[in-house]
Amino acid sequence: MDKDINGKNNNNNVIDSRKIPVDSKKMHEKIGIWIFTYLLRPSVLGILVLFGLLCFVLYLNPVIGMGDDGSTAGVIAGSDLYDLGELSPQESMAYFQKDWGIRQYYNDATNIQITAQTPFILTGKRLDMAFTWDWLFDMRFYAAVITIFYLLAMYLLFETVTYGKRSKWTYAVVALGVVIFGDTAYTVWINSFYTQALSFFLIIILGTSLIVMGQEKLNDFLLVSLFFLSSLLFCLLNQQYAFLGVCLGILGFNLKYVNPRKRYKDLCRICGSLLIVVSLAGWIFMPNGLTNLSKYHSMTRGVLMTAENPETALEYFGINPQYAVLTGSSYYEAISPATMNSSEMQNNFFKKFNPVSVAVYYAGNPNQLYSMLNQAVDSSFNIRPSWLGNYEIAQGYPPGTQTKFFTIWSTFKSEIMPGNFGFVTIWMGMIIVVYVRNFRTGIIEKNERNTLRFIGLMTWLFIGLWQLYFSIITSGDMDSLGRLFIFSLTFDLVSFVVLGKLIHWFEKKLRKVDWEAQKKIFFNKGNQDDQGGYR
Amino acid sequence: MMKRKKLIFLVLVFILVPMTGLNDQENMIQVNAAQNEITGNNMMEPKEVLVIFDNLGIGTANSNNLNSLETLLSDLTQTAEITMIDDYQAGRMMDYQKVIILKNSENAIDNESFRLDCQKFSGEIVYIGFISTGLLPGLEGLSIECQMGRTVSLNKGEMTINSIWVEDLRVINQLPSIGEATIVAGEKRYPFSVKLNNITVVPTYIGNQSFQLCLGDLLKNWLTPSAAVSMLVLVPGIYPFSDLNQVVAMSDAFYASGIPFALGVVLIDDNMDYPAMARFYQVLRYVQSRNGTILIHRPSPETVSDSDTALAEKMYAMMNKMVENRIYPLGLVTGEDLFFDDFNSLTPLNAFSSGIIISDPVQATQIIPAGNETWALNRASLGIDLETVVNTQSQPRNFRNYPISTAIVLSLPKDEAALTDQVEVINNKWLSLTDYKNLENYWSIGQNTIQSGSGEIRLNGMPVSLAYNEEPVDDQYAYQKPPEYNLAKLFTAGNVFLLTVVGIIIIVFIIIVIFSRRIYLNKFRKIVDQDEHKKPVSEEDKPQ
Repeated sequence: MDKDINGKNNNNNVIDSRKIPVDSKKMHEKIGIWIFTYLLRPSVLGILVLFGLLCFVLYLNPVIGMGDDGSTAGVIAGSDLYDLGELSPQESMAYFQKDWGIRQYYNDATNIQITAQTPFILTGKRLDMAFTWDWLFDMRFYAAVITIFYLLAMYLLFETVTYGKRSKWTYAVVALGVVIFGDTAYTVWINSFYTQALSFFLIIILGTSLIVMGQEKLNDFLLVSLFFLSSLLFCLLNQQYAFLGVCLGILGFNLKYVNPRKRYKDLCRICGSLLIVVSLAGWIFMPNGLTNLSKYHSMTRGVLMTAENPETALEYFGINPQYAVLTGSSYYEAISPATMNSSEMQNNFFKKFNPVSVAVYYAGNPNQLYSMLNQAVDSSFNIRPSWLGNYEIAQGYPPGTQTKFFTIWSTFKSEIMPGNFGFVTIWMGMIIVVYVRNFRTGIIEKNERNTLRFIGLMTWLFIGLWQLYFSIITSGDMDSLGRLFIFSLTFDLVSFVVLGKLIHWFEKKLRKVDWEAQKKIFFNKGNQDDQGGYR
Repeated sequence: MMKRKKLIFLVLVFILVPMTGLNDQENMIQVNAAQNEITGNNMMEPKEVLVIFDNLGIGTANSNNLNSLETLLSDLTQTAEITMIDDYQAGRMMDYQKVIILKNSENAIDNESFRLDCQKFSGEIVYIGFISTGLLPGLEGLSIECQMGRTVSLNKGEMTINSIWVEDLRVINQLPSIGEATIVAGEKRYPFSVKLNNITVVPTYIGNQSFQLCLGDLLKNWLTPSAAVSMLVLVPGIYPFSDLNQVVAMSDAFYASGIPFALGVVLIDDNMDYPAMARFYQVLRYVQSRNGTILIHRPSPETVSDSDTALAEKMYAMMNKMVENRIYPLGLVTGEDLFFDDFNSLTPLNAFSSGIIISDPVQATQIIPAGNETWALNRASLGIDLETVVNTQSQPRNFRNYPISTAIVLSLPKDEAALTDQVEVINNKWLSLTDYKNLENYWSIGQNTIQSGSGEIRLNGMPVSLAYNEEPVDDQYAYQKPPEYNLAKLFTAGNVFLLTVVGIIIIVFIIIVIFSRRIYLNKFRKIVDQDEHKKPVSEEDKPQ
């Protein structure tokens, strides 16, 4: 019976019941206990709720997903898939497209791109081909693969905030987590080929593995491998994540101080240097995602839009000041594609600046950078870009309709939370002040493990801020590569962990209070008063 | 029997009554005159021209043939309907007076009803391209000669266009008659086309400008023999951020040499009140004063994402702004891609009566026009390269007009030397160029109606002055509009949230203060109590 509580024999229960007639009451008890020990743990319960939500949102009709803006074409082609061409480019932005064609024979696409996403898509494709033979790729199979990893990531996240305990407050924290990260604005990305789907769970795993390691709850080897694996996949998502890969590699290298075992240290050293090398290789060999589109926006919807005088800003870059007429315009609507791709435009406009010179310009004009940061934060709080629709065209919604099912958190975030950088700065300050003490004592006591919680949070913060800044210098306020999504996600992650901690702290304080004594004091107050005890 | 006849009569009356109404309106509204007439025609009389093609010839030398034929028809202000041989339905040909068959490949024709109709058809046919055996019995006797990879010249009257490369030359082995267009390959002369009864055969056609001009000659005599032709100079693709100094230098040079020219201006609807835009308008005014005419480019369909109404609104705003700045565009510059839209729905583009059709810089993939009907302006010119003009020799010193209306497309010269070259080429050719203002042009958008003819422009009936006087550009322009402060905006949702958070924190703070005071006092009470118990003891002890 005791073994059964541990659940090690639970699989045998059914078989046993066939062979030996067991008292049915006992069976019920067993199952009840098993459910209680395993399924009703706060983190597992949270995962089950999330799983139900995802099933409802992503897999059952009406299927909900993200419209395709064409930026993922390279990855799709690289996985031997193709667009069936049922929707026009504008429609495919406004409507979600579930079915894609599988290339049966030779892949003659010219824009092939292989990233960390490719193995996941290929797994989804295999799954699809195992179930159907119609040479149509149902995106839900890919989403299923992502979902597994997402649920794993969420399990780790819930473990970090519940500390493996089960009491009322842990259920409350997990419920909060479900509301935040099970929000359809987040989960809808799983049903798309965007990098967001992957970076969603990779970033969660990356930070939580550090925090859990700090709490010493799981095997260090497992956690450190999770950390390196997720960092590796993350930095191979996009060429521009290479810098983050190098930073994460350095961090990973330094994780060797956490555990004194030699094997562990070797693992950290090898994986850390490998991560750095792979990121650099990715930076060299992966195709540059910076297109004229994002370059154009970094100028017109960044530098020029916030400049006091766009003409002087253009003169700074050595561009004809007449280009000021393009201030605030978007790539698709200002000039015809033929002119945009002309050599004249290339020589007189695009060749005159690059992200580095834009960054230098912003360094000289911090006011502009600040107002750009404000705008970027504001638009990142809309987790879904407004121009991408969520429904399939067959469902008959107007173009670009976004689902409102289970979007409490994202609605709160986009409409009520102050979307400006000042707010984010205050928030960061608060978090650093609260957590830095932990870090300091860890350093002083030479107990590196205690610093990990702070480092985990700071890694998230750093990734988020870097993506925010990078999106500004490369594409103005028109982010097209899901960088603002990462900022929004890390903001939520850090807030969630801190909120969890806060709830935990309150609960502890309230538990310590001796309510009966307080009551006594309160009621006896009148009697004690005439003693006149104060001096 | 009688009843049925009556019914048919009634139906006919019902159909015709609104038609007459339409025609009355046409007389009242001059805009869209051409379009409306054609829609009227479509329903009443046998339709005019049907173009039938076998395939688009993608990947071959003939890939541009359908495009260039459509352009030619538009240039000759002729609308046409287009169909593919495979889609052809029996009897359709009989509704038309004239049929153009474009055969881009040697593939056999599978559509039997098309074959039968061709043999029955009594109207005029222009047959372009590969001759299919057994399709038209009249063509069986022709002896066709194939020559691979020849450089030929095309000759018509006094004009010869030289050095045209033809991959697969097919000519009719027959001596050309005098005054006819000919293909000259080496020493030999062949007719460009041969007329046999009701069929005119053009054995070789590739969609470049030289062949286009020769076919244009044929089609013009076939469709609109009496229309006047003109030759213009066009500099397209001028943006507010183009090299404006060069535009000024060019207009000065052209003015000095007496070359009337037209400037194709691309409209940008963002930031129409910026100083950069004011400077651009300044330059355009200067161009007008130098005998230049402003034409506007049709907004690229790819940049107009929302809808036709958005396009119309943008166009109204931009045209108003231009007229306000004393710039009077007279026509439209458009690429061939306009064929692929339903032109009648494209208000206010169809408000223009005239324009120039230029070939697209990037070859548009050929699509059969929406509604299978091409459109035409009231008067159009075909854009041709300066190179074609240079390659054209004319017998007399004076360069005569090409058989159809043309516009020589020049690029904006990059520097002084390129400009001198351009002017020299034009001057040496002794071209007879027409000023766009001298042609009849008309458009009406919003409150503005612009007309031109015999060298003057009229705005709402009043002649306008094109003299240039410099207007100062506001250098102190405030780009960053100060935000409008008011109470409603001050308390946006975000601020409300912040206020609530701050409020909650303050309340929590007050509660803590109250509680801590109580705790603090309680602490004292305990100490006092202990003191009271202890003090007597210690006080008792101390003195001892």
